[in-house]
Amino acid sequence: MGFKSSISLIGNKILACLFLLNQKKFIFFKASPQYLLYHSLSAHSLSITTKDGCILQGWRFPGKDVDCNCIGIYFGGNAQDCADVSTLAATLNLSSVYAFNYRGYGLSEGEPTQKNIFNDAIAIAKFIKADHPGTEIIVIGFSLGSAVAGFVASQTRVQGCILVCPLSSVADVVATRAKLNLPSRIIRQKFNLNQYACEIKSPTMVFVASNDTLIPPSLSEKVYKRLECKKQICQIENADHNDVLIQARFVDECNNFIASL
Amino acid sequence: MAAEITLKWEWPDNRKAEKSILVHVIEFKKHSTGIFGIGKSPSLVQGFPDPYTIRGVVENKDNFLHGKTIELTLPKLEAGDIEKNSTVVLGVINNETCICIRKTDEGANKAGSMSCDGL
Repeated sequence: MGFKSSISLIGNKILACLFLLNQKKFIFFKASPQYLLYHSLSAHSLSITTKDGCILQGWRFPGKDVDCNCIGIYFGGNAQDCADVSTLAATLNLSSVYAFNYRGYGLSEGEPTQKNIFNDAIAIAKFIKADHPGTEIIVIGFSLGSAVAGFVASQTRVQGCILVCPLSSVADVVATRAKLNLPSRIIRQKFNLNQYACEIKSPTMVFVASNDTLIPPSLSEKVYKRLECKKQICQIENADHNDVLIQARFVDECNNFIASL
Repeated sequence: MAAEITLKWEWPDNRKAEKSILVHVIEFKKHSTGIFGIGKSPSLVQGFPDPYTIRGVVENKDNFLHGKTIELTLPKLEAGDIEKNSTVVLGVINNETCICIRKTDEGANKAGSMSCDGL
């Protein structure tokens, strides 16, 4: 083994150790509370208490089509405050869009972990279904939230599933972006959408941002290939990870998908 | 310790404040320009002339805002005769930008109807 490859191997091990010790910090960039924004949106704010007593902060934003029989549930990215979704909600042909901050984000209590987030997502879906009997649910997930939306769609019956810039798994993102091949067993927050994508039964739309520098389009396409349900893929040209949600074409295609359900 | 709400300053430029925030000032001091005066650079957001920082507590009767610490750095000229223990109204746009400031003697119950437009 040459000197360079030995150094590379040692570096890889050090980075792996750092990731192992701090993986929650690498994955969850908790959004700080935006009090002035919360004040502006206070008419739409709500909260739910989880089974283990955690209060989650959320909103019910009015959609564009208040007479529609469909409600959206939005799951945000790993640094996103879901209060930001109000603008997007107003453009979607849904009666309303629910969005809750993950534990530790904004004013939601607790600590984020994959287990907590998945359990909370299922609880949120049940809460909304119980609150709106006879109404159809569409789950929408952006970035890390696509793994959450995909999980909900794989575990409960929903009318449709929209995955925006989905990641196939945290391990894939680390391997692609940091060139770090970590044994999957050391990654505790796996968000392995690739594993359960095949269990999604509802029609699913996958959006890919052509210039995505955070989640390479190849990982989103990998998710699309794993889906066994009725599926569509749409590439949003000249869009990066953080501006895909505000692209006019994204909104149009979302509404086309919603209309097709 | 960082304030819970941090606003940036911009001149109004014919814009109207969307929100009025009533603040009890607990500190009013010359803004630190950092080591070697790096913060004096005009290209920095707070690089305007004679910057002062107001730190205070929000008095609006609102669940999300009441009691929150707030901080704003602005040109001394715009601050007028504000001092520690003053009560001021901040005119805010886009939930992050203060475009006007006015000292007031009104109580917190008046905050909703206050405006500093036109100053």
